[in-house]
Amino acid sequence: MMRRPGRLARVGLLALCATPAAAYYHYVHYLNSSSPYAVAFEKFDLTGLPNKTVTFFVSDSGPTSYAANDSFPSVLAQIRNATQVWNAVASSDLRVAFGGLQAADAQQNAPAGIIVFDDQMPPGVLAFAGHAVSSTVAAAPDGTQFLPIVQSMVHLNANLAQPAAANPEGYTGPSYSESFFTTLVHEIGHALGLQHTYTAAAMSTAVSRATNRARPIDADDVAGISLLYPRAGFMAGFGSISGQVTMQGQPLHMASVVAILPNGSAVSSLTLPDGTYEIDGLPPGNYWVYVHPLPPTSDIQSPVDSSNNPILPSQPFVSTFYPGTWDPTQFTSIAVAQGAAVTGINFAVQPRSAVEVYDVTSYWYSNPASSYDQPAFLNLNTAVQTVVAQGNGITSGPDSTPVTNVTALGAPGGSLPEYSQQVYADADTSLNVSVDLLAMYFDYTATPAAGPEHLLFILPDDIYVLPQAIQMVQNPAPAITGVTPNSDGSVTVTGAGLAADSSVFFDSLPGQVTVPYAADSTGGASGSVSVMPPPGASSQTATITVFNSDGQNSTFLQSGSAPAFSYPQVNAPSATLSLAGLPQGASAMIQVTGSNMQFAGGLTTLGFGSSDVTVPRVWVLSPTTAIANVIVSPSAATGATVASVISGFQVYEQSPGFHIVPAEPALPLLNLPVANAFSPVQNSLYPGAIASILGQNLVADSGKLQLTVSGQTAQILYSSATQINFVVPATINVGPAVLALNNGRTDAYPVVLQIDPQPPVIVSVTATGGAVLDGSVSATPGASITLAVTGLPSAVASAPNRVAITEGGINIPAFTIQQATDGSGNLLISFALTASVTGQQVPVTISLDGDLSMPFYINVAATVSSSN
Amino acid sequence: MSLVPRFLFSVGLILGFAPAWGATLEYLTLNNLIAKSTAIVEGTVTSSSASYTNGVIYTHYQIAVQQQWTGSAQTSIDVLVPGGTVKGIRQTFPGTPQLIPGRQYVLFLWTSSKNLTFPLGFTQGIFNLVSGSSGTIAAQMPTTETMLSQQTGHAVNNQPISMPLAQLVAEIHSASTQSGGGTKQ
Repeated sequence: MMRRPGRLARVGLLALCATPAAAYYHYVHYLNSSSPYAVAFEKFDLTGLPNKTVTFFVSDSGPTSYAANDSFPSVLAQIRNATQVWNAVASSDLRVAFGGLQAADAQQNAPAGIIVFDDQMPPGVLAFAGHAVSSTVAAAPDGTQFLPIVQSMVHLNANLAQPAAANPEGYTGPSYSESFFTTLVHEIGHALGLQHTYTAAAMSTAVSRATNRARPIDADDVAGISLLYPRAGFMAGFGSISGQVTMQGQPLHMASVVAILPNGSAVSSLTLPDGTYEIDGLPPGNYWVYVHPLPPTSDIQSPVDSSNNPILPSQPFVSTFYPGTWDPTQFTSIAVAQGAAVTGINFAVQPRSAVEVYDVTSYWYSNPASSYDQPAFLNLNTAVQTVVAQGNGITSGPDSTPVTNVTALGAPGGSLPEYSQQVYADADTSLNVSVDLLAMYFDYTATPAAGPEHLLFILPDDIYVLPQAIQMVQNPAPAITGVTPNSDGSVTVTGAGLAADSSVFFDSLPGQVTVPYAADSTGGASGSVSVMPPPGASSQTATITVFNSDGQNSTFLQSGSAPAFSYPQVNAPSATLSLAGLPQGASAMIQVTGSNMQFAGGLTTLGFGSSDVTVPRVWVLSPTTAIANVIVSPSAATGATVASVISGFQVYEQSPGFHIVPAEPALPLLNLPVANAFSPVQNSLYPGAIASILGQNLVADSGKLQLTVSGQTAQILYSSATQINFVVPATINVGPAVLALNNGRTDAYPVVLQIDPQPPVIVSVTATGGAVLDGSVSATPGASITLAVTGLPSAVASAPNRVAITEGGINIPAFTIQQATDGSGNLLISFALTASVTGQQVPVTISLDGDLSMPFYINVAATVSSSN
Repeated sequence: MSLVPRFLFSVGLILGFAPAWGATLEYLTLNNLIAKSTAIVEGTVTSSSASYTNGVIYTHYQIAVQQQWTGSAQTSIDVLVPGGTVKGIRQTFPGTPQLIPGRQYVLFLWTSSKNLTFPLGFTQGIFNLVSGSSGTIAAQMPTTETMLSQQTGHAVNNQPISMPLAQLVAEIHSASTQSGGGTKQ
């Protein structure tokens, strides 16, 4: 009989809509005092948020001082960037928006986030962040209990200039630095309900974080936010690992258990008081699992009991990998499949008096003249390279001896041939602080794989794991050698290490590529790319930084000499709105007309200084005209608010600029978005589609009901006071279209519909070998299949991220796209069916930018059991 | 050939990494604490209450002053720490300290331009007074989260200060005298 690895593990299928009950690094309340624990998280109440959207505002007082070339518009743009990172997590049902500026005395009823530049912080404090929760336990529609967050706050030191010349890449500013961006992402994560982790993800502490502009969040962050605000089907799209951690037979509370891919990401969880844990949100893969104690500096708020008394972590213990080993050759690889649960991954650990090794970080010496960067980037084409590690207890300590071995986990990995311990005095001599360093020399015997590698530090009495300590890269860091303005307003950036995936940033915003990257004629490593700068403020001097998709950027080599671009002097920006206010509960299109502003798609924000007013989308029609849908909550606080219009670095604020007035009882109210009636998961409307408007007072006199889209009368299929179903005119143009409704007596406020192209169509499905899968032919479980699809532009073959495939409603992460060779113009999309789906008919869909195809149903044969 | 790279001798030059903002603390030495405080007192927490200030709930700790070494003489001080509970709403800011009513502390305090008084560096400005077995009283700074060196951005190894109260007082006197400031009893 063949012995399978990890026989203790038991695998089961997760229920499609199972409710997470694990204690991730959230703010946790235990509602009972014994196992099984009822866990309540602190989180936003999605039913209390307009459009499930929490909006972050920035106090309009702004910072009091800035680093060189920094500005309030750049700060605002960076905050907007950070909100978009969390908003982009598809498996989370929470949407996150940037709402522009807010007055200090703003009155609002919906929960919100506020970012304040605080000029009253005592010395020794650079920032603090947290949230306010109601003490009343609430119940979500799915029955889970939680404590509602009523407001989130991030207080930053108003002085963004410190520490000025000593550190131009300082930790409070400038706002255009990558560290400021990743820190904002981290802070907003706190504000949404996440605590610190130790996986190198965005929510990891600064010393262990390995995120960057290209990869601002990691699998751990996606799992954390998705567990808190799960979108339907989230659990079935990922796997889980669970078990128990004990020490001398007793359960351990708040032990950190980490599932880590050898050359990839890590996802973690904390144990409950009974020692049990569950790591959810694991992308499919083969994981190692280890457990480690929280460090004394973790700054993690302990869960509280029903009386709000904290339940502290159990005593420290020795870290270990599953199944109780420090030897990488003995680590058990645990296969995690989509929708599957692996249970029984248990640990029995040994006690120790204190956590000796913690807060370890890795550095890389990127520029002999100036800078170190964290984490380390190593070029896999260079022979011997050096990484430095620093941390408590790593080289010596009262209760431990120095590291005896360091291993790079991941192919080809292995023990490092040489490393040495160095003790160096911190340059900040006023602190008289000793810094213990461990220098490690990477001399691989074979070419390592690109991507992250983890370091395993082995001491005589413990181990320490630093996930993603090293990023293996294939190309050098970018370096800018020239910046040339062109007559059409674009800028050509020349340099070495640039590539087709390079993004050119002007302060905190990217330029739009006008001429793609091309290597120069010498065939060397140099080349150039031309971009249109984002709309700038008058006389703004923007620092230019190139970011590559492998995580490297031009400040690695040019931190002290970054090139700049000067915007021309122009008059102060201003804007006018087509509506000065709206009643409670109303949705409406507002047109914005700018003066001395350049509206740019994706860079234009319309804000109303209140969480009771949301702006789900802005359409830029021309450089001076934009339209937006604006939604006022039915329970909005009435009164005046701040209106702000921001495009790139151009900021216009008017206070008061908008008024929320009491509801008008007879007014037709349209709920947004106007949905596709075909399917609740179809995100788009297109010519000929059937759409559904929900709302109030939609029909007052059915005989006089009028509905037009872009001026064309729409065929109404059904109407009532709360719902109208209609056909989007077949001849309508793609793009924004104005919907106008008269309910027979009263005009509703017009709103904007986004009209998209016709969705793709799956015309046939074939299995490997060419068998056509129709109703009479079934696929085998896990079979590789190919979809022939019409309605997809051929360009998506090189941009597969625009395409999404679902099987049974679950996203398929891996697939290939190629052009059909039969002249049909179809695209062929290939992927493997989920092996665990057997003996059923499963719907498969394709979507392009959210435009969903009709489902194609594939019969999957039942598994035939075999004996041996 | 030695593989020890020369950069080890310039490691403190410039670092570009971000802080651990739950509360992000800048490392303050004892001399920093003394120099940057507007008052240093030994006192007992007599009561606490919470209220909103500029949209943030602060817990106000009333401190009965037993000794004061620097700053304007006061018998009672209202010390603010972010976080607390008001009318069923609880605000939490990880990394901010909590004082315990009835307990005695040495506090390094800073008063803002709006006359709000905070512990310097939050946790760093609060020293617990602990009686030792020999009858001496020790002043101990509690363990804090990772702190950053202001100048380099380095994480600073956690080295909470602990010393006999008499030695702490002597250090305060010495530093205050050197800086030309007076001390009060």
